[in-house]
Amino acid sequence: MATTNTIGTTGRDYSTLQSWEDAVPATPTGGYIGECYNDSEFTAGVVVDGHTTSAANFIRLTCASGQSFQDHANVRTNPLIYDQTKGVGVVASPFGDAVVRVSDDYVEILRLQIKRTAISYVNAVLEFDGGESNSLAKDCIVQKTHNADADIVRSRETPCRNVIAIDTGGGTSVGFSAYKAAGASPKLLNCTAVRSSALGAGGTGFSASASYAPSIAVNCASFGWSTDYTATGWDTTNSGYNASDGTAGPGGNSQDSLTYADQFESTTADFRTKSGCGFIGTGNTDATLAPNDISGTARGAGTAGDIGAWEFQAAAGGDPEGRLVGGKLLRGGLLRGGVL
Amino acid sequence: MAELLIRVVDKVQPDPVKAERLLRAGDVVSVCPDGWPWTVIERTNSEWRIIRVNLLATTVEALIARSSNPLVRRRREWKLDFSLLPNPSLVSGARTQEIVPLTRQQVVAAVVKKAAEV
Repeated sequence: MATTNTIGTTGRDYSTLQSWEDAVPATPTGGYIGECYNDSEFTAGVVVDGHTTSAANFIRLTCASGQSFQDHANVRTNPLIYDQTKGVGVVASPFGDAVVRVSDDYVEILRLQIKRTAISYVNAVLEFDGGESNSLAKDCIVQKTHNADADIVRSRETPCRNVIAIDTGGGTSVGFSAYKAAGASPKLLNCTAVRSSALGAGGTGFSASASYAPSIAVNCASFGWSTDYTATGWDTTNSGYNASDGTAGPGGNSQDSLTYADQFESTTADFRTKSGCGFIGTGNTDATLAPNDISGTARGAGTAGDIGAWEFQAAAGGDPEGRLVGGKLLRGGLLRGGVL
Repeated sequence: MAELLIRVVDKVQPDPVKAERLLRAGDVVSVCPDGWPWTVIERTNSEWRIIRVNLLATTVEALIARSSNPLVRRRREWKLDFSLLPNPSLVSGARTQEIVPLTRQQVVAAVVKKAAEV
């Protein structure tokens, strides 16, 4: 049975993420879970490294029930961007390290908001730096606000699902950097990389390299970048169903050349997809993909889900024009799952 | 002022490669503002001590920074050498006080750069 500890301030087991991690035994027998509480904003990050882990002896950093942005009563209407008032947030700019760095296998980072605000010689926000094919990042908002080159999410082998990488700072940055010299390919599933339109185009949304093992991107969205997806480095057989405001993503079934402003509630401060978005209902239905979106909403309801971290749903009781209940209005006027 | 949570014994890991990547005796675990609400576990864990000291930000940065060389895997490039403190027993053996107050001069004199990794 896994050992669960609380992390927060008053009355919790640990007051910093790093003290919790340091207290996890070198071999976390039965699994160790750190549950964060939104008692206040976490102002220092964490490194998870040096442990002997396995499927049974895992490490998980997540939010306690009711503490994540995902649990907020207004999660479906809250702007999709880092906001600690809506759930646990970690904001830091550690000197020479990512805000959250994972170097062990079998480590899960779930339901967190993570932000970096200043530069050092390492500028990544969330980093998996090698050999973590069994680790996972899921349901996370990852943002950088500093104006310097950085990989917002750096994944070597680790799958990322329902993760949104947001650049509101600038620089020649990368939303998701997926490189692995050999072994398991990095898998980016239902991830969104956005660069604020206030910055102008720059950087790269999804980056892979032909010099490394091919990476996989499925159901991913890339907007606001100079390069949405690097031209090489992708497993084009297993990639697909990606969207962008530029050239097509890797694999088939892409939705490309979409107008940035038509896809999101705001291209500077709220990256929920909006009605009329061009990649609603155009994702892959592969059962291995995330069944729920970053807000916890079920995807697809038996038909194709959306591309990206967010699953659009018309407001209960009808769309803004009052014609639809519980359904989705797809681009081109198709209706799915609705009650007229 | 700041309060430093410091590991006073090595975290045990039989794998020597992984052990190098864990925090060791003298490494700073966390740095928090003066008056930080440390939890009961943090105040009583025999493997940690809390030091209160007025340090320059650059010293704090050094104490929690990793090497700029990406091939160096250890977490911290600098540590506190307890033998250089005026009273090393404050951070070893039985805990005599919840938070150990030290002067900047005392701490700076005990900060040492680790030897190169082999």
